[in-house]
Parts: sequence; structure tokens; C-alpha cells
Amino acid sequence: MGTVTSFARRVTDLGLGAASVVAGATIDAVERFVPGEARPPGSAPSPSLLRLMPGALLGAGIAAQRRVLEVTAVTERTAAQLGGLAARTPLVGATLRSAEDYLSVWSARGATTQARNRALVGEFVRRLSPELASAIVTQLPIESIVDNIDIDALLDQVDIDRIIGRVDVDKIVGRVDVDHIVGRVSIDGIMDRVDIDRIMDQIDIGPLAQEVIAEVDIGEIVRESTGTIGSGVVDGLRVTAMTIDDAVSWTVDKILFRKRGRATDVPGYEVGRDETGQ
Amino acid sequence: MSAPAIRNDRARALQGTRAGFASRAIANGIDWAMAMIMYGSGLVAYALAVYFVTDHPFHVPDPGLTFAVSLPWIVIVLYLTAGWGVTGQTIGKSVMGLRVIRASGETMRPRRAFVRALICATFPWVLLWVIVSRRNSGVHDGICRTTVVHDWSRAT
Repeated sequence: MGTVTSFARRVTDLGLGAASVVAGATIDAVERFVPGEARPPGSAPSPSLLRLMPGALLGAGIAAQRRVLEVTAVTERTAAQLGGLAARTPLVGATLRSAEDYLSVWSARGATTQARNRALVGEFVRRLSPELASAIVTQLPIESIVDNIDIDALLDQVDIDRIIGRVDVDKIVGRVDVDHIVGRVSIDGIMDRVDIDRIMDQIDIGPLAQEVIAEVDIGEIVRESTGTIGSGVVDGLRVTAMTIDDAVSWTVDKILFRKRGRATDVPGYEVGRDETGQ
Repeated sequence: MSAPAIRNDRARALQGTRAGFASRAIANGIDWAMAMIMYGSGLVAYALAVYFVTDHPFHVPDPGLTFAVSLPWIVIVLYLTAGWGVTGQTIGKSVMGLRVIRASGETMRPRRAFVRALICATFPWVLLWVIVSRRNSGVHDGICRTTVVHDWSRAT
């Protein structure tokens, strides 16, 4: 089937269908809303002449369509054959090609303009949609809708544990820039808002202080610290003095040309012996 | 009484040996300072007693040249005799970890300690002989037959 014939068929199908719908709807509306003569009671309903009209017209239309389509097909086929013959002749062929070129230029211009028009329409729809949606939502009885929703029933269907199980807390925490958050925290601002006096008034310092002091053995701390420091200093002083002793003895012995060291041992003495014991 | 833990190796090795000049000089310096504190405290105590008993205003007495020399000397003699004659240690020797004993290694008795204190208080420079003595002995050690040893065993 040729292009023209196929197009003509789709157009006529659409026209016939639309005509049928319009005719049926019109007849139906006339019968329903325009009062007619009352039908005698007991008489059987019979298809009226008016009711038969759409079907008859459709049948006639379909017959006419078939014939028109046959004619169109023959005509298109013949024209195509003639066009093919003519196009092969030098004069007509050149003319046809130039005409094609001319048409293709205008077709391209039309396509460009049409694309712009489509974009324009798209933009228009895009802007219109929110306004339209807003207008619709404004008209919706939201409260009534919400009242009709059974939240408890919805929540019963939600498996919280499963949702929590799918949450990767480490990944979330890893994406949190703590430094950035801390940098935005104003400590001074927080401190300004803290009423220290009011907090201190509410704290009973007495028992707390007594408890802390009871736990801390001040005397032991003082004894340990002074004892450690004192013994360390004294030991250091003694060792330093011993070193100086050795240096003095060594120097003097060298000056006096002594070949042997000093006799510092005390044979009869025992370190730590009780002074009263003999 | 056992010796406390001594962390320094050299100090541990020298326990029971005769002490050198520096250790003994420092100990003597501390003892002289202690004696002077005692003497000054005695003067202030005397002044306080006079102030409370009589109507005189508080006044630390000026003992005059004779007493200004003799009273400190008496204090030193008594102080040294008490320390050496009882434990072999004055405060200064206790701080430096020293102990005065008889040359034989025995503990000193008060009479010997008194004689030694008299010599030291009257001629303090007798200690200088320790510098050259082969036995680290001062002149007073030679006279009294005593010696001074390192002994950290007693608590300071």
C-alpha cells in the first residue's frame, strides 16, 4: 500500500470513528434531555429510525472509504510510475531535483522553527505545572484525607529493625565533618548563656567537699612528697660531697707524690651498728 | 638497723670508710649554722622572758664582746658534745650521712666527745688537716683518736 493511500485510510478510519461517536452521543442526548411523545404503555420498545441512522451512516461510510482507498491506491501507483518515467528524462529530472532541493530547504527551516515552538510549549507547560498543581492541592481537603489515613496501621507494616539494620552508621559518621561543626560552635556564646551562680546555688557544696576531703589523705600526700623530695636532695648533696672528697684527695696526693691511695677503711666498724652495742 | 637502699653505686661502696674534707666541711658548716640559730633563739627567748616578767619593753640583749664570743662557743661545745656523745652524729653530720666513731671502730663516749668538741669549737681550722692526711684525719681526730665515716644507715 502506498504512502498516500495508507495515510488516507488512517484519516478516514479516524473520521468514521469520530462521526460514529458524535452521532451516537447526540442521539442519546436528544432522547434523554428533549422530551418526546409519551410511548403508549405496554407497547414493546422498537429500534427507532433515529437509532438506526448511525449504523447505516457508518456502513455507508465504510463502503465509501473502501472505494476511495481503491481509487487512491490506483492513482498513487500510476502517478508513481509516471513520476519515475518522468524523473528519468533529463529535463523533468533536473526540474524535480531542483524542486526537491527547494522543498528540503524550506522543510529544514520549518523543522527548526517547529523545534523552537516545541521548546516554547515545553517551557510553558513546565511553568504552568506547578501553578496548576498548587491550585489543585489548594482545593484538596487535606485534613479530611489525613483523617481517613490510619497511621497506626501504616506504622505496623513498617519493619523498623530491618530499616535500622540497613543503615550504615559508620558511613554516616564518616561523612560528618566534626571539625567544621565544632568550628561553628561559639563557646563564649554558650558560656554567656550559662547561669553559673544559679547552678552553684543548687549544689550543696558542704557534703560534697567533706566527702572529697575524707577520701584524700592530705597528711600522707605531704609526707610522701616531702620525704621523696627531701631524701632525693640530701642524697644528691652527699654524693656531690663524696665526689669533691675524691677530687680533693686525688689532687693533694698527686701534689705530694703519693703512690698509694688513702687508707680510708676502718676495720673495726660495721655500718648501721647500734651505738650502744660493743 | 639495716642500711636503707642506696641507689648510687659509689655511695654504696664508700659506706663505712673515712669521709673526705668536703663532706666533713659541709657538715661542720651546717652544725655551726645550727649552733648560731640556737644561740640567737636563746637570746630572743631571754628577751621574751624579760619582757613578760618585767615592765621593760621588748629588747634583744647585746651581750657585749666577751659574752658575744663565749656564749656561742659554749653553745657549740654543748651541741657537739650532745650529738657525738650520744649517737655519734650532730644534725650536720646526720644530713651528710657521716658518723663520728673511735679510730678502733667503736662508738664514742661523752667524755671523748666533749674533748673533741672543745678542740673543734676553739680551733675549727684543725679540720684542714684532713686535706693532706693519708687517713682523712683532722688534728682533733689525731688527739682524740677518733675518725668520721660515711654511714647512711641512720634516718636523717
